[in-house]
Amino acid sequence: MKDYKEMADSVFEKIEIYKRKRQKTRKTILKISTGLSSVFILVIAAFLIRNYHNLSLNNESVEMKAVSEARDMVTDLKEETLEMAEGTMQELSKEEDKREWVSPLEEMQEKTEVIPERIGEGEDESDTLKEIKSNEKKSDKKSSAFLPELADSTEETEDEIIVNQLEEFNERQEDRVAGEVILNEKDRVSLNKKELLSNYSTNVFPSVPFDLILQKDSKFSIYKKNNGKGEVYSDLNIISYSNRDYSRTISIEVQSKTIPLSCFKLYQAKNQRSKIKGVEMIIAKNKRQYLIEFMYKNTGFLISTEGLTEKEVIDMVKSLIY
Amino acid sequence: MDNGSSNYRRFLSGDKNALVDIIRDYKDGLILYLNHFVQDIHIAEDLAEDTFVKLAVKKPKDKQKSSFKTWIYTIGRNIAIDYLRKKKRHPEIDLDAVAELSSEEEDLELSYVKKEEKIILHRVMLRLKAEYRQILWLIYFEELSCKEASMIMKKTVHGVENLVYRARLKLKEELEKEGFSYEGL
Repeated sequence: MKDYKEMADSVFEKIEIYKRKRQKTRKTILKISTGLSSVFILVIAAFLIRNYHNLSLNNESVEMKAVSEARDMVTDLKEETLEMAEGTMQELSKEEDKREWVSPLEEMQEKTEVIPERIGEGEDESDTLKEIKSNEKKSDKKSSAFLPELADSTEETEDEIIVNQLEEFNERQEDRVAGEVILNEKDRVSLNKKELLSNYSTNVFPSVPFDLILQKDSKFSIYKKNNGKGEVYSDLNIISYSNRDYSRTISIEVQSKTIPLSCFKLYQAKNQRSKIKGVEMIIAKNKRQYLIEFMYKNTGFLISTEGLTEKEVIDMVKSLIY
Repeated sequence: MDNGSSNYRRFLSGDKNALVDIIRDYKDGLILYLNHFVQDIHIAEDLAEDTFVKLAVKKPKDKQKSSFKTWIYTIGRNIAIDYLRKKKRHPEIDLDAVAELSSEEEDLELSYVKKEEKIILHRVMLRLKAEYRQILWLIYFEELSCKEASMIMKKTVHGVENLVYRARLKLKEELEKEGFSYEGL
């Protein structure tokens, strides 16, 4: 047995061992905690950086998201329309095979049936077609007298497309077509899309690139004498299409019997004429814009485009001629 | 005798000799008390050392609710119970096979117990079960009150009184078997 001094020495020795162990343990814990703290700080830093990055991306992506959504919508519409068009083309080709000859009017009737929204969602289609038919008959008599060089023709001829290069469009006042029509607001008759179509002897709404849409606030009207009850004396209308940022636009000015008065005298200039589907027209361009003027089925068209390629312009014009 | 609290305060102030004084005052009684748990005087000595080491490194607060002796015996008892838990054995003494006392144990007994009649009593106590031995040691040899013993043994005072009563009956029975009688019982 130990006496109390020996036991005290033993106790102090054990205390020293305990202290050394505790110091070692503390160092180990310190190392571990330092390591863990570093890892924790790194994780937090990574988290913050990621969040910051996401935030900045989110801010930037608000517009990008809208653009991408619009693109998706356009893509979907394009696919659906292509499918519809393919189906329609197949049906038409089958029917064409069956028939030897189809008059242009009947052909238009078929097209309007296929694309009901062009003439008012399928409502009163027969009436609309009747009106178009009567207009066509009338125009047949008068069109040659108005612009004999632009007689209607849909003969299967090869297209001749000549794009006149212009440094800038002729905006000289003296070159404007002479004559003005005074419009009386009391004579104004508002038209919807269907009514507008029935007013002209041909379709005035072309097929346009899929990113372009008809402007929502488009308003159509004609002017009739005697407070809107008499004879039509002006049916000039402007049909505008654009994409979302207005970087690509189409403006179609359309008027019965004559090329719209607001146009410039491209016909009187010494510009070479193009022929699409047998319809004579003048196509001019500068850096961004195309200007096309032509008469078709006694309806005058002045089309100006911006941001469109030549192919898109020609395809759009072709869609108006059937 | 209880200078334990003042010595402990001295030790907490940085006086290492105070711990030597505490060891000197409480070592023997603590070893003999812890021996009732482990039935091995050397292990009891180690446990007593561990009790003083714990006192030195953990520096627990003496809340002055009881005497310093009660407090240090409580710490010792907890250490002994931890030891027994680790060893997974609770020694229950076999009444038919009472171990012979080692010479070191006899020396300690003589130096601490001193009185001959108490030495006989102590040796007969070794035939009792651990709980009886512990309570009888605290009451008759350390001369603690039932309240102090209850604090060490973590029992109620009433529980300790019952335990003491039963331990005394059993001890008397054992003494009579050996042909002894003890007036204090």
